[in-house]
Amino acid sequence: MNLLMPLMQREWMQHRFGWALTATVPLLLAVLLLSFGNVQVQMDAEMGDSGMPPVVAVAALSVVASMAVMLLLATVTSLVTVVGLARRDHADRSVEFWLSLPIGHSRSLAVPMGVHLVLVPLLALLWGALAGVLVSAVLVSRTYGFGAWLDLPWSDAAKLIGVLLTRSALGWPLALLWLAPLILLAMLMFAWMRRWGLVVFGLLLAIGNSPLGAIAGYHWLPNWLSAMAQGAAGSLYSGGDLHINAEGAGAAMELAGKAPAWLISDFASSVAALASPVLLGGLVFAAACFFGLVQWRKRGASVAV
Amino acid sequence: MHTWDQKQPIYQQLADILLGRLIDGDPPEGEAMPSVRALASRYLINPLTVHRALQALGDNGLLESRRGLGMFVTTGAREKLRAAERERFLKQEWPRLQERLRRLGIGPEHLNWENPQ
Amino acid sequence: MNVTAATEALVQAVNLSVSYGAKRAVDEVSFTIPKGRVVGLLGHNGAGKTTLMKAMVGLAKTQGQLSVLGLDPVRDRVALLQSACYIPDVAILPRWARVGELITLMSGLHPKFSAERARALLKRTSVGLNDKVKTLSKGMVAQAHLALIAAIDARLMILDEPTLGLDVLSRKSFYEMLIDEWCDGERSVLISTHQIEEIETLLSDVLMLNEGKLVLSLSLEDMDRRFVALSHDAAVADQMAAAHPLLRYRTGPGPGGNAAIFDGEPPADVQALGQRMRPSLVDLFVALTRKPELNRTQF
Repeated sequence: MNLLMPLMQREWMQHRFGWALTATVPLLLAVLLLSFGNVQVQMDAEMGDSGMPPVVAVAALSVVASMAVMLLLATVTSLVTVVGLARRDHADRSVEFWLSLPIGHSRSLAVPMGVHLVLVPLLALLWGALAGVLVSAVLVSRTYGFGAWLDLPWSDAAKLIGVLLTRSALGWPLALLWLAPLILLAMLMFAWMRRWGLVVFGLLLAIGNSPLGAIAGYHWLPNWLSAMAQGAAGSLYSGGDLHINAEGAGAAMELAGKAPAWLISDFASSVAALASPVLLGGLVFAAACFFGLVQWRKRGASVAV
Repeated sequence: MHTWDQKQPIYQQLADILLGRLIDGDPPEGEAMPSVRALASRYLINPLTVHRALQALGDNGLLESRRGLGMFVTTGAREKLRAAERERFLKQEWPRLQERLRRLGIGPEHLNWENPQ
Repeated sequence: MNVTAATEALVQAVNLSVSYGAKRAVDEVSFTIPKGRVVGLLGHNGAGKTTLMKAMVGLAKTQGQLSVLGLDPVRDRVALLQSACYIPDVAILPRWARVGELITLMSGLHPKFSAERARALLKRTSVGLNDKVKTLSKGMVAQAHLALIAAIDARLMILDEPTLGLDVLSRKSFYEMLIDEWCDGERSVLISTHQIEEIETLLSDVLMLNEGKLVLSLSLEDMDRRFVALSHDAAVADQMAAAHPLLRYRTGPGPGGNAAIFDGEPPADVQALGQRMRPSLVDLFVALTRKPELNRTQF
């Protein structure tokens, strides 16, 4: 029996209200503030230097900012949910209900992780893009008039947004692979010791980063952490440069034209970067933590929780 | 829920109840007894116990088992039962009742033989 | 209990023990559950009933042998739960869900669950499909949970105090459903409860646990044959006591208000002193578990 759909459906049923709130409230706030608040669009020299007309820059900024905000909100709420996953249904004892159903322990943990860590942020990005378009309509209309918004090069913009979304969708799972050891360790510590587990987690990180954490003079933890951070960031953007020669309106078209090629080469760099001992070691560690979580769930099930 | 007394095994008590209903012609001769499950559900008893009760009635010749169809009331069962009950009443209960009537000074002329309303 | 072929038995335990650290919650227990039975698992709080049930669904580590539906509960937990259903407690439905949502989820998560049947069973209760679990009273949650479980076409039902928190009518409704839907001669039910008197007539077999040990394991039919209860007057109490009954107690004021239970036939002269009674499960339970508190009125 394929349990994937029903397990995903459970996440939807349990969290849809929270997701709807997170998606709409910031958008509503932004639209209200921008419609009626005192917002001034300042054109600094940098934006002018990039070769894009100010209108386009404003619209682009709205979309990118909106995507970033939605992604951030989604990631934060998802991380909170995922870290507490092992003990999720213990408060109302409904974990015993789930344990009485023919669902394996690993699946019970892995599917929600997939939904909250991968699916939700990516959908948030998509929603952010759409919301960003709406916000840009408000912002541009207010400063330059609705006609200016309509006149924006939307076909090029659509291509660019598409490329941005695709790059993020491809890069996000890779970023998660880099951060997997941290996420799974936090999950395991929370499972063992609840909130104190997170305190211990924080302490371990703090000690590891201090001079105390060095082994034979080698500061392994800060090095690994920075490698992981770089790897994660690099999964989303490998620093490939997009050189634009044209100026003004043509800039947008040129960007849109060069974007797909940039997408492929940038993503390829991210994939290549996966061949790193820090990543591979991290994945092994993460797998060990997951195994620990499964064992905890098995044993915890037999003792009064 | 039906309360069962302490004196006899449950299956025996159920058999007595069913016996009482048989005397009243419920179900009539030649007809099927309610299924084991129906009886179990009605009296909230385990079907195995119901089965034992029906077996006991069968052992007394009051019910017969027809292959694939269930238990049926044997012809003459009702009469047989009534005859047995009549005998018991006349031999045991009637003498006691007779004594009591005599003590109270009640004669046949005081008794109402019409069917009770 | 009657010895049945291993292939026929739905559950077979041989020298089964479950320990929590140093404490043995279930101690060297051996029994069989054939098909088509309603087995009562009786015991005081802490006797090991819940632990035994958990072991049967693979939620506890065990020593000794345990085979449920021919499977090892720990290794084949998921496969086992597809043909067996388990109610650990009736008040544990997820509070965030609506009842209708739970039906949808269970349709997808359990291969033998019938949504139609669940809805039909739910109609007989006062619970609606759109009700959120957190708004329901404990009794209504229990009714909803039972409706969900009853819609599973399982060969073995393991129920840990399923009628806790239900009123009399709901309990009656549950017992009716148990007989109507589950007593088909093929399925078996293992049910633990404190309401021994109420459930005695529904049981075909009984397993009695006392502090982890199995003190009784037989069919009610055999129980009737093996144990003898005699009611007697206070005058012959001493003679009764001299015959070493399992338990002596009072059933009421006045003559014949004393009773004694014997394991096996007492000598004929002792039998003549009193009147033979049906050994009730409650009395036997008290006799074998030696705790004064119980669910029975005593004078």
